[in-house]
Amino acid sequence: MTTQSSHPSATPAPAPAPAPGTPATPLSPTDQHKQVAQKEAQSQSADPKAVFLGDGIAYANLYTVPGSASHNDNNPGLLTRAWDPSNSGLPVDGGVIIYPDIDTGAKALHTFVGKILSNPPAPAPGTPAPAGQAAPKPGALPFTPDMTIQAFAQAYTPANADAWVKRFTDYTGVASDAKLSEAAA
Amino acid sequence: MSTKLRIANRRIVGIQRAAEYAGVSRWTIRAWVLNGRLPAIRYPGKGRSDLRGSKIDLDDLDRFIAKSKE
Repeated sequence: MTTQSSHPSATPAPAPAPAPGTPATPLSPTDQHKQVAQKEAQSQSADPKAVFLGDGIAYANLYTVPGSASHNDNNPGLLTRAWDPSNSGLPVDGGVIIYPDIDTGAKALHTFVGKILSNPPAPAPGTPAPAGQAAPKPGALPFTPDMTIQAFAQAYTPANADAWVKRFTDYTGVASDAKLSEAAA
Repeated sequence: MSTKLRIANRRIVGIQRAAEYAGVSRWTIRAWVLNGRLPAIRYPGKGRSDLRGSKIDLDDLDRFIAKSKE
């Protein structure tokens, strides 16, 4: 049955036609998520990498489970005041900021991830920081883009890191030993 | 590819396209669904309980928008 739609604005952009005889290659779930992240990033002038990683973090934080803290507090990143000092005036729930609406919470999450991705990589143990590289500022986030997903989870949510990593990798399709910077590439 | 997959004007859409249609973010559409204000479609064997793969009927969204008018 063909559908006569009353929703012309829902018309998707025409996809480029594959060469005759060429089967269309379906996008992998990871590529689909990246495509959606790019669209959202364009509409919000946000970094697509931050949006993609933010989505994975939100799912791993059980944002889509009603009753979870991240859902109830409009805080998909489960951000604390230490991780989002720009919103330190907002109330907290068990240390987690309560955002007034989900768009504010999502924007804070994207900013948080963007800051991580722009942090300088940590020097190898016992290695002095390269000349000219400033030492981390007090209050800087304890996460760096060269952390693996597993290492990030250990620092971000040490109490349930393994379960968190499983949810993150399940959603994003990114391996747990991938670096944050690579995961978002 | 099936002809049905190429129907341009779809009524059943994903969360991203529903967000574009309503002029809000994906997060807002998700919140409306999770809070029970907007129905979502989960076809048998497709999608998950956490909204992945869920679809929105634009007729439902139209009704929701109409109800939201002051």
